[in-house]
Amino acid sequence: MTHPFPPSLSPGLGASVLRDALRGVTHMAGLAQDALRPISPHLPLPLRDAVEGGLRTLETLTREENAAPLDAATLERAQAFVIGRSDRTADAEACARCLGFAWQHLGRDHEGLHHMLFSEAVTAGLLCKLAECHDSTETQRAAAILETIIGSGAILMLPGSPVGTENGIELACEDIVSSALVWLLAERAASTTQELALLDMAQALTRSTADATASGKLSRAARTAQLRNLATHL
Amino acid sequence: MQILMTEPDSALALHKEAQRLRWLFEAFEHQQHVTEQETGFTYRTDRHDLALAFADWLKDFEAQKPADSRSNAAYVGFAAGLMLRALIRHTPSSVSARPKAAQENDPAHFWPEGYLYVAFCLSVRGQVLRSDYGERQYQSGKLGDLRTWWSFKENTSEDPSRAIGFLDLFAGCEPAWDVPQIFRGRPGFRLATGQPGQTGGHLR
Repeated sequence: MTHPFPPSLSPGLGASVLRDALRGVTHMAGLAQDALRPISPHLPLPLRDAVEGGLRTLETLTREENAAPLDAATLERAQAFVIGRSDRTADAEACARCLGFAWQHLGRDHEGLHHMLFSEAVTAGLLCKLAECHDSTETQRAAAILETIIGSGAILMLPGSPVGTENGIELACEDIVSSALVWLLAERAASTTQELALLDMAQALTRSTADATASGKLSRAARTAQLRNLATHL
Repeated sequence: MQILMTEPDSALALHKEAQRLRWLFEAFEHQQHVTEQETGFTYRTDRHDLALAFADWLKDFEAQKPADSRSNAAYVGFAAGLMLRALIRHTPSSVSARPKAAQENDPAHFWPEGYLYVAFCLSVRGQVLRSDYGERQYQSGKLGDLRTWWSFKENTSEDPSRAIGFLDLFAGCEPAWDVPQIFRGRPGFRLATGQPGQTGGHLR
């Protein structure tokens, strides 16, 4: 009996753990390819083809699973959580799923982030705790999510990453999470394709106002207001 | 100059819709297509630079937005000028292919990128005035005058704020050349709020 790879993921927290595992495999396959590149011309051709082909296939298959489009219901649940109208566990998990998706999509061209792992399962856990604490009202929720993710273990540097890749990483992480939050706060688009375009626009808009929206000394309320204002103009 | 005339697919008033980046991207892409058909040029537009122009515009737009609603229609013309200034500052578009036969006296051939930006700003200006305020936009004969375009390009390369005055000129309105970047200094503002001492409105 053969099993399809990657497997179809079931909904719920278990799925987020499995997606994290797949993300880890994607990253490790990428790192292995980077490490092999200088010596690959010296390897026997059949071995080189087998190793490189296998790593490429592994990277592609696992990446595709995590890049699967989000459905409208997941986006709506995530939005309800980000605007602070829901504290439900399922909505916190949907938010983590959307942030993981955004990380995958927006970080794809950022070389430094190839060595960073965004953990959807850790994020889901953190967001559930955030909701339980009830210290983030509607006016503070978006900034609270941003602070929670950036200041926690939700984004990790992979073991074996080249030295020096951490330069500028914190800003890049904040850029992606801020952009994802602006996207989730905005009015929903009509289709999955348009949602993806909207996510790209959210990043362009967030980057263009990066000086004004840098977390710096802003209060949660002021930071949330800025993110919401950007979302209004998205 | 051909400008787009499409109705927004939204329940929002157009002047509100035009304050959203998703609308800008779509409208600019549409105008680019129309201008390519008209001129034979092919443009490449960088979305990041367009977003920078939008953010720049939005900051200026919100900073001078009038509290008195009688000035709203006049502010549309000013806001369109601010957008032209932002586009000229950030230059999101560049020519990727030129038509085989160049017409030296045509403003579109003299400054293809500027031509696209002006077409876009006039189209948004005209649509908002028509759909939200029931006003008609005129097109001045200056729009096809190469000497005006020469002056337009040279002046805005020295000071992009002069683009605001040139857009007024192209739309048949009296420009405020002294302080084009200040809304309260415009004839349209004084007329709308009843302040004395200026004439304004459309030049036929």
